[in-house]
Amino acid sequence: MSEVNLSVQLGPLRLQNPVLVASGTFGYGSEYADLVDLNRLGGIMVKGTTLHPRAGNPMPRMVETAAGCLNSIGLQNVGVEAFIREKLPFLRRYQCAVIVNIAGDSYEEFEQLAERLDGVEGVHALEMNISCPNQERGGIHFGVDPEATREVVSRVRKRTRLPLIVKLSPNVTDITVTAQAAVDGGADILSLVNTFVGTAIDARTRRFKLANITGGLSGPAIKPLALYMVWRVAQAVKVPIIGMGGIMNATDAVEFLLAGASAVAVGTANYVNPRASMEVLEGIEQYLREQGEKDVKHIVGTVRRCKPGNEF
Amino acid sequence: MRCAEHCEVVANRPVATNQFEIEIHCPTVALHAQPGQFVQMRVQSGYEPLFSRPFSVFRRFPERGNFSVVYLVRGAFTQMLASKKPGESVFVVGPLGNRFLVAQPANEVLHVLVAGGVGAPPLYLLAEELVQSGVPHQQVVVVNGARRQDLLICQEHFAELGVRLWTVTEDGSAGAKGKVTDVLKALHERGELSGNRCQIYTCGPTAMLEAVAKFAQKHDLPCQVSMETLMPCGMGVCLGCAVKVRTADGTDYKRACVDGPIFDAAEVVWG
Ligand SMILES: Cc1cc2nc3c(=O)[nH]c(=O)nc-3n(C[C@H](O)[C@H](O)[C@H](O)COP(=O)(O)O)c2cc1C
Ligand code: FES
Repeated sequence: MSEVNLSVQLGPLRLQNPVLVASGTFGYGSEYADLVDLNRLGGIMVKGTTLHPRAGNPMPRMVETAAGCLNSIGLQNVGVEAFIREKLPFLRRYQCAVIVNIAGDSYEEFEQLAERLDGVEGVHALEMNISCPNQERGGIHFGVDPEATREVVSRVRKRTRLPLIVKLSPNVTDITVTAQAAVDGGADILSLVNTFVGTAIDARTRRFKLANITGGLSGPAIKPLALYMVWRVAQAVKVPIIGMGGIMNATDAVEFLLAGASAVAVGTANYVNPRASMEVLEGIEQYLREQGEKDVKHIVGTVRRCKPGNEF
Repeated sequence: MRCAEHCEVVANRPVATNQFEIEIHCPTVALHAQPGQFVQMRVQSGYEPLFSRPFSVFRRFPERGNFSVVYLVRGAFTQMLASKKPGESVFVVGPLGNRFLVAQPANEVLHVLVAGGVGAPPLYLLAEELVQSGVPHQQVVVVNGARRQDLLICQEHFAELGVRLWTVTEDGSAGAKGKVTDVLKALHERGELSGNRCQIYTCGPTAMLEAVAKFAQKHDLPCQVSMETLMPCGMGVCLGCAVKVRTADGTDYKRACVDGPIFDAAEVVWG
């Protein structure tokens, strides 16, 4: 059987393969280590990390919707110091890239997080969560405003030498505008999408289903929207893209690669099947063989127009 | 040890009106599941519903490599589960979560197992473990309650164990009419419950857990509760199963799926 090259170079970040796991859907890796061979993952994007620990939002925080789910976890996390002390040593034992997803309520918090993590052994990149739709003052403010996006990214850029990924919010009119702003600020890589703001109501009780009223929609329900945004951004900017949003299997992942993503992240699917990331990886490799491709890079952004006519 | 794999359905038999016991071939769960632990099960092939559902392990058959859960058909998921035939497969992740801790010295403690509706199966596994480990039958009290007779679960299994079984329904259609806490009050009045010689274990609807926890608190009795929440991942990563608990400096959230489902009742912040 011919060898297929799965390694990818995303600007300054090298990954052994293009399959990552999305922030907030894989904890700190250890939770899955007995079921998933972490050495085989391209990378782990750890749970959103803030300067100080956060308790998160009241329950209920999550609700299933048609082919998806809404969450309003509220960035419950151990904080950056406990992350470095308690979570990172475990991850250092593995060869996959460790990407720390950082979130702040202010420019200063983002700067301090970037500074704290710069040069820490075992951290391979930062992913800025400027799009988290759950924080009243935080994410939504930066991610939907191009000027704030450029500003926060350029400030973080000055505080770290790590490869810098900016995770875009889909809750905007034109995502290419914030994408360009992030690139102007100094982003090496863009990741998209984060969750779409939504809500759910219980008709019987006439109440909202989430304590926080709104939540972020993820899962298969958002895949067509996410795919479209990845394709748009790939046309608009030159930096590599990590695509995500509703990837449940290898075919979904391949679609994101064809649309222009150089790598993909598996999110909500990890809940449904703990081994989803492995199945996506194996499936991409098999797809490349079947298509006679020797290198995953060769299919990135190669989607073509559909054939005109009535055939289906 | 836990697994995430497609497993064969060995049997799916009715045990009472609208209730089934599904037996599944899964050596990992059969060998390792402890009383109070659960599995995440997936029977749907599409995304409707999206997530797996948690089910407490009811019985283990280690020599056959099988385990079973009991379920009440009451929604889309359990309807799909009920339609599974022997030879078909279900996706199982487990065993997950922590277990009921047996109060020591086990032979001297009165073990009071308080079950509400579908909360009964893990308490059956606990009762079975207690009896098999040599705890005298009269030291194991099971209070099995439900709204109506047809919502009572595991009745025959408890009866077969030979433990002291109290049955109670809200409408009086089986056993005494009333609530599980009425039975606890009666036992207390008879002087059977005292803090250092008794341990309550309870599983069922949240309102019942709260009532049992408050009873235990009032009489200074140790009580372990099995918390029921939505469990999107079951792996400790989504944080969608948070349970509010008291800490030294206020409150915090713990995860029902990995820090629980069993909690010390005194630790839980209700409502
Ligand atoms: C419960 C939950 C928690 C999440 N937490 C974070 C987070 O802390 N930081 C972040 O950038 N994205 C977070 N996300 C968003 C995911 O990383 C991902 O962008 C989104 O879910 C879309 O991908 P999916 O449809 O494959 O899940 C979270 C998503 C879910 C469902
Ligand atoms: S069910 Fe996801 S953390 Fe408990």
